[in-house]
Amino acid sequence: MKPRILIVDDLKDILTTLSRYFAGYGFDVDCATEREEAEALIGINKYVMVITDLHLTPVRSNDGLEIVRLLRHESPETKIIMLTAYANEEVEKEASRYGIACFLKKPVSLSVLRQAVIANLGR
Amino acid sequence: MGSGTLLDTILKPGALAPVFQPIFRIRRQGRELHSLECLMRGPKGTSVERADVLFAYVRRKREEIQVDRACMRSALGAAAILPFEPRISVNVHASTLGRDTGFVRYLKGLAEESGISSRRLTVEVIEHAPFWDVTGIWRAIDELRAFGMRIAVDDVGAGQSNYNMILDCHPDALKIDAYVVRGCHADQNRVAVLESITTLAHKFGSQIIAEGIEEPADLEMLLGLGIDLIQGYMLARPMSLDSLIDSGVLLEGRYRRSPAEASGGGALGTPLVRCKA
Repeated sequence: MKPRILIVDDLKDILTTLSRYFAGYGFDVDCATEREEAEALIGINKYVMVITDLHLTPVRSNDGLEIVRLLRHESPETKIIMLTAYANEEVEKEASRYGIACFLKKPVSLSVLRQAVIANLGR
Repeated sequence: MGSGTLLDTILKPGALAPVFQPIFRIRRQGRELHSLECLMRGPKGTSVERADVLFAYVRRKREEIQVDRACMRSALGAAAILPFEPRISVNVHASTLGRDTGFVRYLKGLAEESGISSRRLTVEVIEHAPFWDVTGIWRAIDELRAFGMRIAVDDVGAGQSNYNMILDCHPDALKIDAYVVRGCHADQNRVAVLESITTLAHKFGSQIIAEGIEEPADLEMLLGLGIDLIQGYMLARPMSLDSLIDSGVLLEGRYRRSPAEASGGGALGTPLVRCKA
């Protein structure tokens, strides 16, 4: 069975690109553009990894952290990579409290992201 | 992928896709169609195409009312085309019944528009969080009954569908969750739960419907317990409107048994008379 990952980003063209890219490397990829959509999928499917943007709404709330909190509660073994264009020390600190595997600043190249996925999944 | 939120996509006309799963009454000599449950699928090609993801998303958005109304429009629009006027079950969140004071009248209006008698409708109440407005529920239940609709409590034995729901709704039917049913033939604990639900249903004067039947041995066990209203993949999967009409299921039980079947009896789960080659 293919390893299943979830990618969460409010920009649909980024989602499409990442989804095709990781599907090409043998992953089963689900996508979500909204926090509630991601949470619904997490409640039903089992993911080996979740790659999520920190900010999913035009208002810069930290929706990505809410997803991480839910994951830690519902699926503690799922690895998490967080992406953001607006990183700051406070958010990074909170993210690391939840044991996020990797925090990457946007823009990130596909190969860097793939290396981060491979490193954290041990594949 | 288009623009707008996922909720906008769900609410676009024609985006929700209704499918129908038959509920059969099983007799030793065969089966007959009891009713059809209308289930909803989300927009094709989205993450919410699957019903469980769709409704988990809707509940997290707290948009049950808007989406339940859209589901009713879609369900009754499709059901209007069905021949032979079968009974139809539709699923509604308890929170919608409690909070949306115009919901029942909306449903009644849709039924009239679609040429469906309210008496053919059963509202299956689903509960995923404790509902807080019990007077709202009572009002809705009274209205449903006044219009001749029947009430079922869904997912009995799992999650939130518990005794207070049964007490508040006085349901005409209890639908036993697949979790309780699956594997009951080899599990005395499941049988004990089924027996207790059966006793409860008899006290309330409610019918019992068992969902999620996939194995003949489970079906035998249920029949032995006196539970003969059955829904599950073993008998029929959810079908689109076209497939349902093509399948001949709508005709099952509408004819007298053939002499051969009357003397010998059909196998469990087969129609009294086959309607379509």
